[in-house]
Amino acid sequence: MNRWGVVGTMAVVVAANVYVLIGVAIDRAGGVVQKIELTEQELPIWGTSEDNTGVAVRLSWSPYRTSFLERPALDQAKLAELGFDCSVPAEDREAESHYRRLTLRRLWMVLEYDGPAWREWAGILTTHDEKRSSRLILVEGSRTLRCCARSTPIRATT
Amino acid sequence: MDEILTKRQAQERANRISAFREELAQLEREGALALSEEQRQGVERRLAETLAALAERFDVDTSESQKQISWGMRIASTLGGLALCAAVFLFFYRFWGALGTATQVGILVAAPLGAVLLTDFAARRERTLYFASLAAMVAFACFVLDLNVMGSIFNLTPSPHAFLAWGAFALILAYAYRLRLLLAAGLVCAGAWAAANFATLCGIYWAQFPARAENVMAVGLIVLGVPALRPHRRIPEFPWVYRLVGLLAVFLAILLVALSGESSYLPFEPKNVERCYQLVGLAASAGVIWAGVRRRMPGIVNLGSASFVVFLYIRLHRALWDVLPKYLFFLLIGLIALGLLAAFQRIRRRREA
Repeated sequence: MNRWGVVGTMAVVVAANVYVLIGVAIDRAGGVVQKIELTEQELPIWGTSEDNTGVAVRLSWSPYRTSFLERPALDQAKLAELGFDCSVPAEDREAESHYRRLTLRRLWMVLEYDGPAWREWAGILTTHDEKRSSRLILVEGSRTLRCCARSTPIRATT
Repeated sequence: MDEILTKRQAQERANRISAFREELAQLEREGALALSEEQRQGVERRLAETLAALAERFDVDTSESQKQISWGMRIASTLGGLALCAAVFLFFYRFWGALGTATQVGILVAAPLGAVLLTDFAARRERTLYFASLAAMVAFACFVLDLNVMGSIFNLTPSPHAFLAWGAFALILAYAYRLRLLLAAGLVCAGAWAAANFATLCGIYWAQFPARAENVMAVGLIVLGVPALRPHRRIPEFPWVYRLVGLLAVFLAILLVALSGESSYLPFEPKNVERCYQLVGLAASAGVIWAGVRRRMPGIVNLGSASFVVFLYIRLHRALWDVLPKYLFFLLIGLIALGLLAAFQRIRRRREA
């Protein structure tokens, strides 16, 4: 038996899984902060087939609201505040090249569920669309969790 | 035969013996050499003993038909390994909905451990390592599935450290059982982890590390430098894998920027960055060809030649496609290919002289 090969690979498997499970335990420690009941409008079933018996759901949310065009949740000033370089105007010749260079950033977003933003937005939807659209609406964004929690009345948690 | 350490060296010796036998027979037919019956039998006995010893110790191919079958076995074990990996993934996804979370986690952890034991069992039973290689690929697939599905079950934030775990797993298996395919997989995973961390240091979200080709290029150069720092005298087939993976990473990164200047950290006009990388690609390819010829590494020369042609074509296409009539453009490409052929012939003659 190639002892160090067997022991080494097994140690990596065990260590990686223990690391994951400890992370899960820490994440779930401290009890439930707040319970929110979501429907299939916000959590549509995702990617099931005959060859996949697992059930996975996807969080569906919307950046839209009635005043979206006049007052979007993430306008140019807000995006700049979040760390994106929005210095080049959209109509500029260099805009396409400039914005293609931008990369993803890890940020915190606040989604409001079935609140004023949704009711405002639902007012202009047809009954059919209203029953299909997610009631989670983006209302705020921030670089840090603390800033996000401060700007909203609910207690934020990971 | 004591100085022979690896299967590759043993196979080279077996090939030399085979060539010697053929040449001896040819010389005797032409009358240039006449051995007595006793001498011929003595030589033949010695060659047969050496071949038998090599076959016993290293399981080398001693005839042309054996070589062809060995190639078939290599292809079959690679394709079989890939198919088994797909089977493991699909089998788990087909039934996991009917299992509880604890059972799912138990199966996910046990599968790679079982496959590692199977790899060890196969490696002890056969010297050729075809089955061990296949079992090791399945073990690697099981471990990739393990961390992926754990992430799905517990809705975890994606982390680059999964690549580190996969890389360590594959590299340990590769070195323990001398498996080249696992070495390549391990280098790719460990390289992805390093590139992701490099990107994070530069202020980019880790999953977007390919969006700046220099992340990949830096890792490729490090991988390329490993054989120089650690020659792997006991596993001489490994440096070739390091060079191949390193060069592919570097050339792919250069190619990415040569086609799209936005994929670079360089804060210049994308068109200028593209031009610059097209020339860097040409120079790097020429350097690789030169190094490959100098060190007698045909695989590296081929890789350098292929990348040289690709970068040359991109450079000419960007510079001349809109300027020249199409027939003239392709005529120019053909003439350059002829020029390259002449240059290679000249290098070949010089090395023969």
